[in-house]
Amino acid sequence: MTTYDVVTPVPVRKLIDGLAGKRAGYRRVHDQLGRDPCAPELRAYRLSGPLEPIVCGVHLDRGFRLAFTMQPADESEEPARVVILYVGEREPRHRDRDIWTVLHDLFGVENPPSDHDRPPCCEGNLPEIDQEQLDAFVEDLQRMVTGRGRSRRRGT
Amino acid sequence: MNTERTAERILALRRTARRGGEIRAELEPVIDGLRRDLDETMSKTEAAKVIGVSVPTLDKWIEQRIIPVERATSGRPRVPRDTALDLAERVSDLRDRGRERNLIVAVVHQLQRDDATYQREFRKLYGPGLRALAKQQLVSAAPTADFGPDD
Repeated sequence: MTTYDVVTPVPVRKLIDGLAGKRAGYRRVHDQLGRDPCAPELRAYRLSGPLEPIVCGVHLDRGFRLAFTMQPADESEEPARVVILYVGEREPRHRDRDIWTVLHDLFGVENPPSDHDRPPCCEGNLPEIDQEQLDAFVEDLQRMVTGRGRSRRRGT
Repeated sequence: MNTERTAERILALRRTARRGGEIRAELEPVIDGLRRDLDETMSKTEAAKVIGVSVPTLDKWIEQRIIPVERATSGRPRVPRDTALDLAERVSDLRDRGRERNLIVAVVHQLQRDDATYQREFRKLYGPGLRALAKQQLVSAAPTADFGPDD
């Protein structure tokens, strides 16, 4: 039974569609996120550095990673939701394609040199993003995919 | 009674009252008096002028249930005075800080952060509208039929 809405910004939806046929195990991870993003079998981990309060990561198969955050249920009967912020390959040697580099650029923060593998995701508190942060993220994501100018936050 | 002009005075006095202390104590009854000079609701055109947005923008917020409206006996929508004044104050603050995009989302989040009473009231009033706005940006992440079992 699905207990979380699993949603994503439109540009990331296109990246997800690109995983079809790549045997990256996205379907399994998506379904588990919908059931319980804190389930131990998902082996989700917190990112290190400035995005630690907001973002968790999951290893997909074949070198792919998935970044997600959460928004709690509200009093308007909307269920809690998992927001997939990005999917992509971990490619430290190709900064422009590396998922963690791209994600940190979108949030306008520095990607720490250490890797992101601190389990577990839900220890202590849940990763959470407020609506304003999410709006700004989606705005910058849209700007990145359309090539219309630089992020407002980049370099800050 | 010029609604827009009275609202401008109220907003100017509220900004001054935010300095706190004696000024606030002195101004509060004046602000309250001016507020009561206004009708409890205002037309969409008046509300749009008070808040500082276009009527089509206000229409969009009403349609998305971000702004609650009451109906006049004629059936025309009327915006509650206090809602318009509160939103106007926050919109003005955000514009002063250079924020234009996603203004309403920012306004409501600012209100939620600042005031616990607003947090409860606005979640009740505006929660569905905010989620509706957010939903426009977010889509289902479910795998499509092109995904195989190992994909």
